[in-house]
Amino acid sequence: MTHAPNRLGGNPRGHDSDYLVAMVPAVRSDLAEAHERTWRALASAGTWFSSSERRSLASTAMTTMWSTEVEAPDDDGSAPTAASRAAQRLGRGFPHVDREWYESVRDEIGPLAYVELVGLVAVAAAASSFRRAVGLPERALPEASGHEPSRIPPPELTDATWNWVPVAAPADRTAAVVQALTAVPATFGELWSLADAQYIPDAEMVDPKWTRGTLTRIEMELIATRVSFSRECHY
Amino acid sequence: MLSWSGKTAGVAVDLRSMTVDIAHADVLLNFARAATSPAADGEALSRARASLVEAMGEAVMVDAAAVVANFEMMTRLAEGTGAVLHNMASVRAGTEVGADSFARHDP
Repeated sequence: MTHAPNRLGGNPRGHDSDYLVAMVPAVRSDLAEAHERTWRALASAGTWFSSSERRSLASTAMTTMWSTEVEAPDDDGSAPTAASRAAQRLGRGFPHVDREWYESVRDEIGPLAYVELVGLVAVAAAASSFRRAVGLPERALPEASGHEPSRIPPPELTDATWNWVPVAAPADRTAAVVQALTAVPATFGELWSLADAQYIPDAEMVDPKWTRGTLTRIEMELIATRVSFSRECHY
Repeated sequence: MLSWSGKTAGVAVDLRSMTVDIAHADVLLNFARAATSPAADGEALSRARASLVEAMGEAVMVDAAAVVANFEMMTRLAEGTGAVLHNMASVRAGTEVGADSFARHDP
């Protein structure tokens, strides 16, 4: 098995993922590597946000995620105000957003930046949730890598019926959550590589008896339902 | 929020009806619930984690934490992109667990 370099050019088998396994020995190596790639990506440049903007937005989302305060926490001012406010809203467990809200944010930061923002907040939530659930202490995000966004042009885009956001054409051929981030391929890749390690690899999704030898598929679905239920996610 | 939503909508929600024949369903559900609670419930999460490790082992606890994390991720993805269900079987499954009481995205 070979391991591709991560987005920072480092080896995903480096000391940080070893540290995670040392702290919790039962963490699978592929899961530790996936989380370490995610952690570094949160402070690395994306397609539409710089490294410092992404670090700020991820930090805002993770702070909001566990806050019991009604007032949103202050951010460090590195990211556009509209994006920071959106990260606060999406970071909460019950964002209850609607199309009007989406369109107002989209009009301020652009539709592709919005797609990247959703993906960033989502993986930041996963990273924070996992560390907390296994009992690891809070961890400071890495320093921003100092890079500007790549601004790689998107694939051919189209409007979708099953999502508010634009998607790679053709639309509505796969599930709404699968096509949701296709307008920003790097963001799509970050989220789904993490999902493969955390949940079920895409190729195994059709097998109801697939297991890693720990949780059965039905036990995984029970937990998934509980979390989705707690978050009042209709999807 | 779930209880609030269910009461507001007059919907009876009983996740335990889904747990038939799952040996450690209670500890798994308790862990998932505690792991999604705010920071103020940290002691409850510690107890839930210890109970799960005792019942099923540390490797199961870690993979359960990974599934929790995955759906903290996927719920935000679905909410933020306005994802709507197109599969009627999924729609019916959602109805079965009371999800009709949740805010719904219009296509």
